[in-house]
Amino acid sequence: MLKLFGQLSEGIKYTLGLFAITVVIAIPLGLLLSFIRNSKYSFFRGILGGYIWLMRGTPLLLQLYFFYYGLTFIPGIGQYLVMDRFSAACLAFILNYAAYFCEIFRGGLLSVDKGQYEAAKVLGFNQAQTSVKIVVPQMLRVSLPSVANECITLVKDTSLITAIGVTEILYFTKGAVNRDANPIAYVAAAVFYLLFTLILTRLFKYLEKKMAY
Amino acid sequence: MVADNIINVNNLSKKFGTLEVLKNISFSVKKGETVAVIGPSGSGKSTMLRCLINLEKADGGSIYIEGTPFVEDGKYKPEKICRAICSKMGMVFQNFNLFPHLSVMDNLIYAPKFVKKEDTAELKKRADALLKKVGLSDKGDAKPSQLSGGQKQRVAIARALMMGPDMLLFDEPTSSLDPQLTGEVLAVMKELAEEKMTMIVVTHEMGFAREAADRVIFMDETGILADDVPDRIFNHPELPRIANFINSVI
Repeated sequence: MLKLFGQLSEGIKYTLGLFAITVVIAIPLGLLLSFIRNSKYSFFRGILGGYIWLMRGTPLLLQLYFFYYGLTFIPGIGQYLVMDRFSAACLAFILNYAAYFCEIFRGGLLSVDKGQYEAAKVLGFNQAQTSVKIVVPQMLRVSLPSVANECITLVKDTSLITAIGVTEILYFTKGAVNRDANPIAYVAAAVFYLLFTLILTRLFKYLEKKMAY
Repeated sequence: MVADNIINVNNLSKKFGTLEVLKNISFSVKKGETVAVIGPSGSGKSTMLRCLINLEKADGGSIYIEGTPFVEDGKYKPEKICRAICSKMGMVFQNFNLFPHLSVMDNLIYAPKFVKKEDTAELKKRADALLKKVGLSDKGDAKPSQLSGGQKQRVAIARALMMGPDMLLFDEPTSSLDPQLTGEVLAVMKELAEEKMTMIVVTHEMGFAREAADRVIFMDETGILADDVPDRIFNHPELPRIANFINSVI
């Protein structure tokens, strides 16, 4: 079993790497998009609505295939869109998860009482100060359980990139099962994912407590 | 327009869709006066107050604050000028609208700290003094969720005072409080009235209007029916409409 963990650990850098890159870029991106989604510019709102529909309405696996294989076949520009496997995976994950985070934050934004905006206005806060000091902290707190949920889904979704040949954990797991004709490697992989999600669960519980009001 | 009027409202009107909530409302408030605005629900009292501080856009009329208009004949000045003029006013809401993620202390100092860029240490001193004034010296570190409704409203009053306003607007400040908590909020407001803070108070608290107000404005759906000293409104109302209302709420 320990030897198995050793073999699987070669894939951890891609699993953790994809997770970290997606979280670090998609969460702020989703936050930014949620403001546009709630803004008064109906043109941008419309474009964003289409983007979110596209990202949430198609399988992530399809998006992965599209970014890694599909783009290269576009006549004329395809040759400039060749990416290495991991970059294509990151791009697909960031774009996909930003759409989900955008919707989560939009929900959080809607939950902030309009009295908060009025109180901020009569106290003289401008729009930017109202957003940064008053609205966003409350919106983040409300959104936190959904963000946690999404991050846990992300941990497991990282395994999809094995389909475009990124050598992450599941890639080595399949190899080990085939080589040894023994399913124990599946269990080892499951243990890894369980530990990872357990740590995340604890972390988010702590954050929720800390941000409670 | 009289020079010592701190607020002048001329022919203010406001529609929500086809519903005319305010019809040619005109009144004025002198510096240091406490004016109570009473009347049945749906008469536009709160809407009128919200127009005064630019939370609601009027469709017609003029509002002068300390002699300067921010809306004249229904035309608004640029947003920046409106803001500057309205910054002379503070407002206290029915639902308190404290910032729930901030401590009581931060609720008090955030606006002067970030809007006026005042010194934090100085602000804390001022906040402590104001918390003492409203009887909540020990609550600086508490979060709003740990306070009773009456305490929340007293914090809201202190928060408004932190900006050093020339006048305070109260929008039904005790309407979401238990009767027993109403008293502690009204006591703070009476103290402010005695200190000659200019106040406009939309209220259903007839006791407060009668005892603490210098003047009472009675509004119904048709507009302002009376604008007089409390004694005349409460003890010798001219119109049966007012007499009926007062008999029904006391």
